[in-house]
Amino acid sequence: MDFSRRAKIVSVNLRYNFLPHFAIACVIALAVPTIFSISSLTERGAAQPLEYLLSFAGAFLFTPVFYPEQNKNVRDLIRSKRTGYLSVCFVRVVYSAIALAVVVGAMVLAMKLCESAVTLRHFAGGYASALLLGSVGLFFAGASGNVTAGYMATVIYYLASYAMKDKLGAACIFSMTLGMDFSYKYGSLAVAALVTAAGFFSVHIKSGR
Amino acid sequence: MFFKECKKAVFSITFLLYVFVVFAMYTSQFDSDTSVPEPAPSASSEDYGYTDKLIPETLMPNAINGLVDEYLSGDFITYPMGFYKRVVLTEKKKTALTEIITELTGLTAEELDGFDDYVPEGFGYVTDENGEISITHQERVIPEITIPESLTYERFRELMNEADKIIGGGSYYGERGISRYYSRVPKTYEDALADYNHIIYDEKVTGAYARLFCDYAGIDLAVMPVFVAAALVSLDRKSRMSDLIYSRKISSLRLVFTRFAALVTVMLIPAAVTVVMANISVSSRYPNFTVDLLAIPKLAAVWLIPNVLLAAAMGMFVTELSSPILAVFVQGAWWMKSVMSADNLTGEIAPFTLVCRHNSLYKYEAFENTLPQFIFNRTFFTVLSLVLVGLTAVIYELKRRGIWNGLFSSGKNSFRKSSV
Repeated sequence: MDFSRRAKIVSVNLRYNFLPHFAIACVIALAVPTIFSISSLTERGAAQPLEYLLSFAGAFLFTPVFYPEQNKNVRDLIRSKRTGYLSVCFVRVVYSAIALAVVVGAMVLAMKLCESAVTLRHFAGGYASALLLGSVGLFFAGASGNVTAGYMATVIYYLASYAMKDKLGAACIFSMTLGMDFSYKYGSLAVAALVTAAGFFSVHIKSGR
Repeated sequence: MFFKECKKAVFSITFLLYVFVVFAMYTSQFDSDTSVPEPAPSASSEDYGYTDKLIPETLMPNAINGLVDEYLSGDFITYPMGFYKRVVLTEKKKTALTEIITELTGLTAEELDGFDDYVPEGFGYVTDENGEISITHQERVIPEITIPESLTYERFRELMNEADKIIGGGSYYGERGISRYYSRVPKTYEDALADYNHIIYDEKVTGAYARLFCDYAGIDLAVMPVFVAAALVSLDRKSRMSDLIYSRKISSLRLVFTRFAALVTVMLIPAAVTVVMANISVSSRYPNFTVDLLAIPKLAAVWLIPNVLLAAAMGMFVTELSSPILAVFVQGAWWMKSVMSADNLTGEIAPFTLVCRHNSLYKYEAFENTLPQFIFNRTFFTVLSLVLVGLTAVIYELKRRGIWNGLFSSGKNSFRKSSV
């Protein structure tokens, strides 16, 4: 894939497929201070808004990665192009990951300015939780070919994580709030990467290319 | 057409996930919570639990001690939206709070700030004479407090509400906080026996269990139907069937309402199965008592059907208006706010509460006190869902005639009027 074609794919996708989802992620970030306190929080208390609410920003950025091609007309058109369908989806994953880092980073910075005890670990931990929740949505949306099922899976996973707490180990999205060792977050990132790869693999199997 | 729509909904992945959630919620919450029958209180027991009673003689000193304790500790615990929030006051707010404490206790700002022996209540490390460290429960050490005789209960509540406002709301001293944290008194044997008899004889067992069942089932039924509805509505677009359906003779109103009726019908079936399961389960745990077999179905119909109606209607309306993603976001955000802001899980049903809660077999009075709000609430959401379905039909008709494509329909075509 040459640079100009890659740039074209990014610009078209950013324009038509990214902005609405990014807007929702921003609305979630703006809603955080209305539900949680973000000022004068202890290290553990600061993890709560990031893991309990901001993680949904990941769900809204990653679940719709396969969404545009749910429409059969678009899917047929994309398949006729020289650039592979999954390569385009991978580009979407990359810019969504960057956008998520911006959203989580901005929130951590806002918390820092409000005198909460946040560190880089909060950024990494909050980012890992959001990626994990997003990867679950991406996988189910890809495997079922239904973006709504992807969102439904993220809500079910969130509730299961809430109920099962540390029993989920690295797959728990609330590990910082629960006071679990930070190394679980590295596990969360690995699980997110594996689940995302599984999502791509399922779409590859279904589309036969 | 009704059966065709039912078939489409039933054979969707979202419906399978919906069924999974309904049964998982029933098994993991209601069934596990009620696995053993409520024991009759024994006259020889030393602990009957707690009950809420607003007794000024005990409430006032306990709440004032708590306020002074938090003042000396330097920070205040609050739950503004049901989540923990630690508040540190600015100097200006601290001064305002000191004035309130002075009126409540007679202690001056100098006496409060000069008190060096403060020890918070809780567990702490203690070193004995042999140098061994152990964890023991420490009693609170705060200045001795004498409540002025001139302080009336009404003035006390006013001052406490002011303190709550200074702290930022959601503290232990506001209207909700005071009743929740400082009105708890130990139950007597007579209290416990009266509560037990109310459940067993007045409510014929299942009356109390019906509230707990609906409390749990209502959580998932207020959000999960939106996914099934959004997926079904967007299926036409996805499978390129819209144009074919648009050309049919059936009116938009009839088509949309038939689809809505089909969705609600299929989604109520798993919920109805859990109602039957709950009835059998509860009845079998009380074989020696008369149970009312209609109590759970009757309350579930009033409590849960509006949840399914609203979530399904919202899913159809927003998906037709814009996209399934926005439908999920709108209903999900509303649901989350409702669930998270439920500070007290009994006695807090307001006219516009989306997820009504009563997470107890007891506290019938708390539910009875909010009964008018509950009835208004359920009626309001039923009417709102029918209005939303009507609006969905209007949007559908506009699309069918080619007048409007919906919000954000395809980037360039948003808000575009068709030339047809």
